[in-house]
Amino acid sequence: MKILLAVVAGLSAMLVFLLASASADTALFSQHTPLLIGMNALAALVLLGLVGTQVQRLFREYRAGVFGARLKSRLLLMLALMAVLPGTLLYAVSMQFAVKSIDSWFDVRVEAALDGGLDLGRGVLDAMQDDLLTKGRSMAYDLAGTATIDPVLLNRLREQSSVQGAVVLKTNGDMVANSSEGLRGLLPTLPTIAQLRQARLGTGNARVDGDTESGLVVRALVPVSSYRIGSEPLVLQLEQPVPTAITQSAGLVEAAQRDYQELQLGRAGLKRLYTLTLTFALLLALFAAVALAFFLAAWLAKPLLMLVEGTRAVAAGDLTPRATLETDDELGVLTRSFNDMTLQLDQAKKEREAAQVSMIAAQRAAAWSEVARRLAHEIKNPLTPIQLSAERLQMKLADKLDASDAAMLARATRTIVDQVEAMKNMVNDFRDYARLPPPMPAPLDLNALISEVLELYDHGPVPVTTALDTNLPKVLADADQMRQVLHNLIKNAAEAMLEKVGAGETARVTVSTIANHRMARLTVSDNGAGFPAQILAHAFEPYVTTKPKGTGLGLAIVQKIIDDHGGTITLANRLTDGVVSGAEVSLQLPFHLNSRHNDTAA
Amino acid sequence: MTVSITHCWKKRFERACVLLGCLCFLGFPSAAWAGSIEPQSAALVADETGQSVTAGFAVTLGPRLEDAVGRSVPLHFRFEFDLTRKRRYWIDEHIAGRMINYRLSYQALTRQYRLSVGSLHQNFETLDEALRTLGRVGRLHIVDKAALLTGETYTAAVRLSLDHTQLPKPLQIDALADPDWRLETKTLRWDFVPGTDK
Repeated sequence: MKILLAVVAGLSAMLVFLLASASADTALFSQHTPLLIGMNALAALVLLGLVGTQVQRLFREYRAGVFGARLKSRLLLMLALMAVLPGTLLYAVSMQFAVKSIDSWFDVRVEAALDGGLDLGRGVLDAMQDDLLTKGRSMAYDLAGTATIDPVLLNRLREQSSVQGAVVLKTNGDMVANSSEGLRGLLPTLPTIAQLRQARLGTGNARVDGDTESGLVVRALVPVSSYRIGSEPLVLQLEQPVPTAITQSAGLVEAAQRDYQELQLGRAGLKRLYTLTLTFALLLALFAAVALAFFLAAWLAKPLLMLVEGTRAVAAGDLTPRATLETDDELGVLTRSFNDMTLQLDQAKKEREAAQVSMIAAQRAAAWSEVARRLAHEIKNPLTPIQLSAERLQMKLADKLDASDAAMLARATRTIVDQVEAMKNMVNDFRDYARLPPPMPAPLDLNALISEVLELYDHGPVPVTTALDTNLPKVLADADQMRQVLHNLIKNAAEAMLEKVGAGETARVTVSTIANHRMARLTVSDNGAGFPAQILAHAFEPYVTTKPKGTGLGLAIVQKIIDDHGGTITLANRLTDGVVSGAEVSLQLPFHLNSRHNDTAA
Repeated sequence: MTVSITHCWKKRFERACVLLGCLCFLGFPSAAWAGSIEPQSAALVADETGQSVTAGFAVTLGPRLEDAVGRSVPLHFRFEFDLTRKRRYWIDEHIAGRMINYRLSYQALTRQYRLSVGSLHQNFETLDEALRTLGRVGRLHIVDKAALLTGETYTAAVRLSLDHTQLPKPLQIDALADPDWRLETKTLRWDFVPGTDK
């Protein structure tokens, strides 16, 4: 729409310019003026159509109560008025001016003067004709007295009358005698037979030949009436050029009179042409201005509408960022600062919510810790007496029973002791999980920690190998908690491998580290049977375990610690050629921000 | 062919625009007494090398145009001849065409009417004489014998019209609004079969 409007407006400006040039210049485009007028009318219609559709659309929006239509219509009205009023005034003034100036070209006195000038010219020519005719008659009289036409006599008579050319002709056009001044009239222009006959019948006539550009010549035809009976009738033609000065002046007068007549004849048309040109210029300018006003109105209304919409959204509780106006002016600043304001509101709201959440979480954690501590205490308290009592029973009764009963007693006692031990472990784990203190992160060399932890596994049944990234920057972590994480993971892997060791197969646990895009990645992997599918999905939930004696809290604790550190943990099965070839647990921990710089500085 | 088709569309567009221009004036003025150019006779006659056309037109200018000529406004006339051959399922084939431009003017100083064709001109004492000469086209060679097929039917058309585009601009505008400025012109068409008149 915008482009179409621009194109049409440009074209119409061109057309109006052409029409105006055509109106001002008499020769330019004179053949195509009606075409130009038609094209201008077409352009005006197209623009009217464009404006009409826009007005209709706005009106429909207004009626439908579309948000912003009211403001747009008001702005449009103002802008359109600003264009229409001065335009109309200018139009009225120029119209008056143009029409009045056309009228002022015409003056009765000028017209009378031009007519008079022309009459004067005609009079001069008439006088010359009369003069030549008179001379001709006198010469014809003299010639008629002679028996034959004597060229010498003709020449003398011609010179006496100071006429440029004289020729005597028969009525059939044959030349009898010719005389001319200088060489110019060697071959005189001869009259037609009809003219000769006409001249012979009357007393002679005179005419003016030629035009003002090539020169005027006065010619007179006079019959030479012979007194002798039977002689052939002859006609004398006299030729006298009109003096150049007279021809030129007469030509000027004639041209001026012609132009004036033409102007007067075209007066109405000229007025019409000027009126039309001005009207088209006005119409095209107005339509273009109104069409432009639409865009201006929309452009002006846009930031205001954006703000209004924003305030409505904020009132409704929507604090998401709004579109801003990327301009340097005050409106742009306004929309941007409005956006900043909502952003700050949003942030404050989120902070408040987060504080609330963390407070609730802390409260819940504290309550949970307390419950867990007391529960552990309450459960642990009777466990020691149970264990001691069972051991005592076995000690006291073992000797008094026969062999089979003693064996049964020993079995039962071991079961009680084992289960009590397991229960103790579980309660400890439970307490540890609930009591896990918040981490105290500090720059930590992960590789050193791993080496330290692995010393404990040096003589274990499952060999642990390492693949450490020697350039690993320090991470930000709590050393104690990370030690626990490593223990949990390596112990888990080693325990999973025990079966394999028992079967006499090669078991291997690998701990590796690598720097991975602002995070340190630590992977503990084995070459065992991998995680079963249901474990993979629920591994981090408490009480999920593959071990016969596990509490299922190991990985849950690991995850809690890693979460507290802002890291991530993933479980996966290693695949070799599509077959599970082991399990792996990967941790990602953020680097201590300045550690790289520290390293390079050191 | 394309040229003539686009030309045809261009003409139509121009006509439409001119019509629109006419509509800009208040409505259509009622018909008034206007001049006309009536074709009276036209024929193709064989000459030494082919065919020539002779045609006669009755030219009446009407009071408005006569007044304009009397005020030394030159009028341009155009004689057009076209010879076409009808073709089935296709637009007519253009065989030959001739166009002559006349200029009729009045010399106020010598009170003579002048009819010019190119650089040739002829003076007349009265307008009637000039118009009579204008309306007579005699033995104008049109087409060579070789270009025509004996027995084939051709359509010939003659037309003599006032060339409005050569009028002074204000008068062109007047002519849009006022039919008195226009000359009713008719085209005379007739079928012609070469070889029959030999």
